[in-house]
Amino acid sequence: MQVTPDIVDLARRASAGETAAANGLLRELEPLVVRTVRLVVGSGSWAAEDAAQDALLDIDRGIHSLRDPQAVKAWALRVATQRAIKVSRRERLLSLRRSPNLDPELVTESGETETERSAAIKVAFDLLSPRLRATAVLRLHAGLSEEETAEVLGCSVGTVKSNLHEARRRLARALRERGFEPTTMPKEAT
Amino acid sequence: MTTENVHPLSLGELARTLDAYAGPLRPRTRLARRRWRPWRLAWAAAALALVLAGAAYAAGFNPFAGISAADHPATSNDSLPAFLSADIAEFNSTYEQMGHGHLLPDSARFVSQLPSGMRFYTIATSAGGLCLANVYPPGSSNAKGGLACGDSLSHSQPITIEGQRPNPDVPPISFGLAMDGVTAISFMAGGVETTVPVKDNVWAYEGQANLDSATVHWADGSTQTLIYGR
Repeated sequence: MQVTPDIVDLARRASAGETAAANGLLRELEPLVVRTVRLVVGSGSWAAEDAAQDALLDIDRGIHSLRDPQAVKAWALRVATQRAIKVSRRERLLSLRRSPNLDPELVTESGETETERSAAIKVAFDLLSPRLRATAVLRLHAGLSEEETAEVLGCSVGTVKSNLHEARRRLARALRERGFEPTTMPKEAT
Repeated sequence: MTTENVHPLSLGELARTLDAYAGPLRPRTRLARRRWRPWRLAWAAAALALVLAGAAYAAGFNPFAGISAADHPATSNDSLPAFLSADIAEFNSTYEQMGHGHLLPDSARFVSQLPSGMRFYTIATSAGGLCLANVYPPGSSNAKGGLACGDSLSHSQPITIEGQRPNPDVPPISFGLAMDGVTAISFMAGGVETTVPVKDNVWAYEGQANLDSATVHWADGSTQTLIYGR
């Protein structure tokens, strides 16, 4: 994961208690944290928006515990993912029998360029377990390596690989069940 | 040599789909609480509140106050569907860990039914909170129901707003509780101001709606605009 010198400096100063640096660090981290949390919890819901804000608060409160400023992004993603998984589990129970608690207005926003296929992927993705979702989001959206993803999730690289494989297998099955044809594509490393 | 792999979903497509749904760079915010969020409470405060509210409930505190449709002796019509009872039991273990008490299934009261067949029940919690459960009619979608919990209604927060879309093949539905005296709710839908009536303390609208703000219509003719914002 690439970390710019600026953000490392902000992290170092923020962890030492400098308020202005903490604010600057949060501004830098906000897009990555917000979008990651939103995807893990389930975009289109107020729960995801609230969780994203809570994750930023968690980072703000915990910045003093940051040991290695060079690893600030991974640390922030770990804090944010823990929050997202916790909220996801709660939301899963709240939305009994997996009826997603989506807000129509948020759904409208995110669905502007929505195709039937992408909508089907989204619905199936939101039905995955929080751990599977987090693995896919960290690898494919946040761009973490398998090793970094394992560190963020506190699991082995093997678990990351099997989680991503399982997530993709379940999504593929959901697409097949909805009648979407397989596509031919260059072979990918998984 | 190019090797080809046939798979219903490539990693690239999944990554692009996630990007498409990742949304804006900043979280949307609300000026007022839209959904009930009791879990906002700090652990220590929640533990204390649980003790106090539990005692209050035992002493007769009524979380259904202001919801006449729920204020009736229990009948067979109040019985929750089996799946809901089972899931409440599962939910309670988590909810209790959060320090917000647990749902009291025996307190469930049927309040309203939409023409579509969707049924609504209120359920009290041991911490003096209130939950709204909605149950889809059999075979209407791939969902069976939903549940949301939080504070009881008040004049400053006389309605709740929830939204669900069980699958992309059906339109979203917005609904919520409204306390006694609220006759209708207005909001923008498809660029047009839309007003839906309150029946048996429940309002509902099927279709895309913009609920950044909502106007509450009271029986005395007054209105109250609630801004939720972003």
